Amino acid sequence: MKEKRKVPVTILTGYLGAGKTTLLNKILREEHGKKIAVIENEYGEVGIDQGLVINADEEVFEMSNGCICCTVRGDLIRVLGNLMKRRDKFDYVLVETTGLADPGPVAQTFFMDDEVRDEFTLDGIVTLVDSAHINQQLEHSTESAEQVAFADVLILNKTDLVSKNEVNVLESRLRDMNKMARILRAKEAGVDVEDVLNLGAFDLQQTLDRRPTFLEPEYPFEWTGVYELKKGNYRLYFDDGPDPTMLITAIKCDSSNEKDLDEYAEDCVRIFSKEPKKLLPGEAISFNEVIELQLQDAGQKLFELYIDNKSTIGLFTQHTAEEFNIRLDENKDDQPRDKEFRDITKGIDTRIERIWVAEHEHDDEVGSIALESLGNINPDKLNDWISKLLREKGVDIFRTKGFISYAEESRKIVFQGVHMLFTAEPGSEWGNEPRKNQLVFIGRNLDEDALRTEFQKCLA
Amino acid sequence: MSSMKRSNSIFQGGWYSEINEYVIACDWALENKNIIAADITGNIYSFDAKTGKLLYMQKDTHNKSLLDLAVNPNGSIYATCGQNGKVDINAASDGSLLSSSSLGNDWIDNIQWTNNGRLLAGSIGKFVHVIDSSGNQLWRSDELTSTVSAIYWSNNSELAISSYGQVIIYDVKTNKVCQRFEWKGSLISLALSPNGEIVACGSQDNSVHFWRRTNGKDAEMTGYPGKPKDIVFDITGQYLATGGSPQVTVWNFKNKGPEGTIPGQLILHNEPISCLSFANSSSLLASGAKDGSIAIWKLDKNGDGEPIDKISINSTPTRLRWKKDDNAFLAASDSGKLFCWDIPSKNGEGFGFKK
Repeated sequence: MKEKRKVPVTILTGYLGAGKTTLLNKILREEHGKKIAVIENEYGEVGIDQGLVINADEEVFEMSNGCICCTVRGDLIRVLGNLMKRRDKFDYVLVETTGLADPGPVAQTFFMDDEVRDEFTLDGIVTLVDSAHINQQLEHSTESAEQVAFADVLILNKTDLVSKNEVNVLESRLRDMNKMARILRAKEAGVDVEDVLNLGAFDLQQTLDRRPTFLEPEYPFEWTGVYELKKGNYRLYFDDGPDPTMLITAIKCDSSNEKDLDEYAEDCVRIFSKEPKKLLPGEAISFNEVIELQLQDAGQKLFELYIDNKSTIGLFTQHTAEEFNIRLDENKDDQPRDKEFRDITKGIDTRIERIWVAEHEHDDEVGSIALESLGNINPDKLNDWISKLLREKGVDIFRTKGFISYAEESRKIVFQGVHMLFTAEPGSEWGNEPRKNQLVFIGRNLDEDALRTEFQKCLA
Repeated sequence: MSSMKRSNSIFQGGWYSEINEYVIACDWALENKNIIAADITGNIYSFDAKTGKLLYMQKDTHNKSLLDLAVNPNGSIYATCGQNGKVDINAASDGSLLSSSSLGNDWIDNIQWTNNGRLLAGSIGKFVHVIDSSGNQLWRSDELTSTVSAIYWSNNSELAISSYGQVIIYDVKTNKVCQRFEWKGSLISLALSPNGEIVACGSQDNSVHFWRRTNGKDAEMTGYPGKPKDIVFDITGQYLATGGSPQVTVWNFKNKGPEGTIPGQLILHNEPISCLSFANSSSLLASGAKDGSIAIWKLDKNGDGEPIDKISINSTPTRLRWKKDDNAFLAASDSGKLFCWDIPSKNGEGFGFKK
């Protein structure tokens, strides 16, 4: 009997009003050549010619043993069971959940039910958030926080209803909650169908390719711009931004090579650890100091920067350039001005720009922790630790992802988990790549120190 | 359509036909002269039972999404249902539509006739409807707390309904709940013993739960590696054959069993059981599995047994059906094959394919 290809499934979550239905309608109308079966949470009609739309009643089935990871969606099992019989009629499944649905049982269905697991593969979880209301929702709803935590892709929808700065701050908050997710911004759920289907989210290598910084250490700064400047006087311009102050360090660099940036960043971490010097608009920024720019005044603010020789300089800032519309430009007497006497400037182009994973205050209960170590892991120690961890804390651990190196194995061992359910499968070959181990936990009230300590104990 | 000839086998010749779509159901009709089969896309076929010749075909019923077919015990009519929320009743002779009953907007995925063929029950979402053979709607259940997973007539008026967490038995004539059995778990399949005493359910958590109706006592059989979606009693009610693994597990209800007894284990298939069917007049059991194998078993008194014969159809069997006198046997598959074999009976007479 011939081997059947598993049908990929995307779960679409999002709190009430986030725009899930708008997105579904876009996907169904778009000419993408895919035959998609959509399982809706409200009554839909069957229309095979334009794709299959089926309603589901969101029945959560708890098992008699009371185990959280055995809780599955009975309606999905039934609907998918019928879809299995008509495999040639569709090549993709999209499952929409209600705004109040816990994504756990939906995802677990694809791990726990043998028949579903044999025929379908969970390709990824997409969560839409309403940029205008998600902050309030996160304060009052555990469901919305869990939907963010489970996501492989977070779509910040309705960005046209809030300011750019608010979106930046929101993105930062959500990134803090879920390090793994790819974040997209959208108006009226306008994203490409490929951003929702074929995510390969359960392929960690793809995740790394798309978001290579997800396991980087956190830095006290979020943006770096490297400029090549000739001798002269310059001005650093700021518009209104999310904070009344911002830390900045300016350093001289030997080169504008991307690969040297990590080294400069380490130097700047040390500088940032010192007491900052306050600087008012109009004053000059000095090098190799951490400076707290005073940005309370409304409107355009500028700071002087003097370059005594042709130099490559790096500006390391606490916020991204986008958040304050930071521009560096020469101080010219004939600088064009608007009617309010503000300089009109686009600024000098950077030679290199880098967004860093910034340190944040972890206000949300839900967060993510990334662990990384070089070398090989002892499989028995890891198995004992992970088994115990998920048994005891699995209720609060929504997602686990990562890859591990075993000395005896030429391939990466790729981990995936939802609550207590955990799978490990060989992935791509290590080849000449240095052996390392990376694990990410996304959950509620995670004990970072304990996780790090236990993870280190697993090294061979 | 092709003929088949096998020597030294219980599957003595016969025919098979290619439908090419997943066969949802098949059964004998018109005093076993015809066979009715239906595929998932809503096509309904009628074959000459002896020759396998296609007599007629109805295309694209139920908006191209058919979910169940049930031939009335009198053989002259059959009912179908689907995703369009309708139950159609058709003449077996030519497939003509006799009635079409709309039960709602949801899927109707289970239909079953009473033994006397007068009533047909159909489950739609959290409701069960009963219609007569003319399509008139006679009864509707209360809304259940969860979607109906299975229905089973205990007799010509008592209907058992399983859903998440419970089995309810209604008397549809008096509209009364006769009994309610609760169990915290997702019940996915249902079978009643022929005398109506035992109510057995397969459960999502890889177990079989059953209740004795006279005293309400219940018991559970655990240890299945998969979901026991297929559970069937034999004609005597002594044996309950269950799937949920590559082996058929047979529980013996004789005397004080099955409590405290070791079940029979019928080992032959390499992949999980996909369908089971007991013969109508003996303890011969037919089993099909996902690996494409079909076996006929003769059970001993404990429920153990040896395969009398086996055959591979290279696709997963979806439905097995014995002819009323057990001398022929139907099998349908997920790749759209339909097989009909002679089964030599005790006196050596089969259906007549060899003649």
